[in-house]
Amino acid sequence: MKLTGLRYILPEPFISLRRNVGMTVAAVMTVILTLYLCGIFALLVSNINRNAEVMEAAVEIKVFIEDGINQEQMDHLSAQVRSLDGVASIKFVSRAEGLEQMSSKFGNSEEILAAIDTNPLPNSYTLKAASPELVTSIAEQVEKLPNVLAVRYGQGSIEKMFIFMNWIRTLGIGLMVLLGFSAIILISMNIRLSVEARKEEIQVMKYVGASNSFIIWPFILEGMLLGLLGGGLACILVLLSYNAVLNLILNSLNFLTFVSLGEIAFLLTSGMLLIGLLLGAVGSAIAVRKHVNV
Amino acid sequence: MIDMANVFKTYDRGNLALKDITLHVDNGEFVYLTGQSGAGKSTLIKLLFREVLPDSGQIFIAGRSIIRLNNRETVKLRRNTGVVFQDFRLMENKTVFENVAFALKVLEYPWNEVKESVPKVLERLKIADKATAFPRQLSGGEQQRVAFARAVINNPPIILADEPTGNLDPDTSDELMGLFQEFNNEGATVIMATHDKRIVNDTHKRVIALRKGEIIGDHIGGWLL
Ligand SMILES: Nc1ncnc2c1ncn2[C@@H]1O[C@H](COP(=O)(O)OP(=O)(O)O)[C@@H](O)[C@H]1O
Ligand SMILES: [Mg+2]
Repeated sequence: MKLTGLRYILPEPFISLRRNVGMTVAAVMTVILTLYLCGIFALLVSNINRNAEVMEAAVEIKVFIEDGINQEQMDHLSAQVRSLDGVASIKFVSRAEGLEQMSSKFGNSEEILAAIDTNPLPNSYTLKAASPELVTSIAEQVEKLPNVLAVRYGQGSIEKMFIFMNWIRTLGIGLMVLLGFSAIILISMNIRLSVEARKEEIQVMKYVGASNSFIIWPFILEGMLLGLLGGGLACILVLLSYNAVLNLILNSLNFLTFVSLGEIAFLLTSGMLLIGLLLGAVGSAIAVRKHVNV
Repeated sequence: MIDMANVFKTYDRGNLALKDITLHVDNGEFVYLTGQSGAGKSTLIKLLFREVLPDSGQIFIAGRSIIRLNNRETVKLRRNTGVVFQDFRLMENKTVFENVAFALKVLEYPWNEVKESVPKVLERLKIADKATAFPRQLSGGEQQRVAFARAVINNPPIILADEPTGNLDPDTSDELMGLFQEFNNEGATVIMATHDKRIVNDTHKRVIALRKGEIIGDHIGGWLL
């Protein structure tokens, strides 16, 4: 395609969208609706992920060490723990630090110290597992090591929580995929309808000797434009809704972590615009191809 | 210029539309295709711009077979052929100017030339004042002039017409026939399917008469059925 041809093709979609207002509005609405739902689901899933991550990070295994072991035994123990499968990190917590951590959780440390005149806590290690499923097995292995006094972790409740979280996450992703598919189908069907409505026009283009690219490209560009327009509007709506929801529930659900608007805005915007663009382009390409075979 | 040799055409449902058609049309000729509805006139016209392909037989235009053409060659054939239909077939969402200009745009004529030639041809066909109107705002005769302008704007050597006066009143028909005559005088080969007896009888030209897909007469002047 020469430059002249390009010059003739580029303005076509703008003119056509304006002159087929009914079709344009219908197609843009479809894109908005489906992409809006997709966007909301994407936010839901990413928030679930975020909370799961936060909880994952919080899963720790406490390993209490027997008193009165020497440095050599201690080093040996930490090396053994480190070599276990799935141990992501290990941190030594001295009895003093342990008391401080505990008292910061439960209140004024001096009061506690006053109440108990000696520090009852042993030295300990804080372990993090590479993934929450490994917590139990790590804990069981550590328990058998020498010089280990006791091992503490979530024991049951955490795992159940994770199973539940994973389940919701899978469900969310599944629903999003499903929604994505219906979006593709809906949008391409809509664009196909608008192309179908103009098949006489395509026929005429063929009669006057328009090459395939001269016929196809305006439609593809038009689809892209529709997709961009719908995607952009849907994105604005999603961001507005999310902002409103955050304002509404942030305070009441403060035990959960939410992905902030700023964090997600760029990814969401570019993602939705791109998806809109692609859906529009592919939808119209498929629809128009059917009619251009000379 | 145009040669058909033993052309057969059957449609999907087994309708035999053309049967063993052999004909020759000279450069610059004006030929009517007549026959009752269903005789095969439209099919013959469609074969000439590759809207449909024959089952068997050969079709030559300017010495070249048009049976096996790729996309590019088909496009080229259509650019050298102006086609006018009974139902005008204008692009409803484009203005008169844009409809006509489109035929030049697809040829990638520079915009300067498009801007000059389109008003000229609209002027010549007496529809210059409708340049910014949309097809639905025009009378049948005016729409057919636009369709005619689109067909002839790049001076194609062949003009095909499928009952172009079918939706027009007699006066408007005569005006349109005058336009075909003009372009024929300037050298274009015209093949026109029609079952308008009056037009065929008024103009003393070659008439190829079809019946049930076969040529039953090929004479200068008169009406054969
Ligand atoms: N697209 C088609 N599919 C099936 N049969 C067709 C089609 N077009 C035309 N025919 C049949 O072919 C024959 C010739 O039709 P046509 O060429 O349109 O005749 P005319 O233009 O002289 O009226 C008719 O019997 C018609 O029914
Ligand atoms: Mg016909």
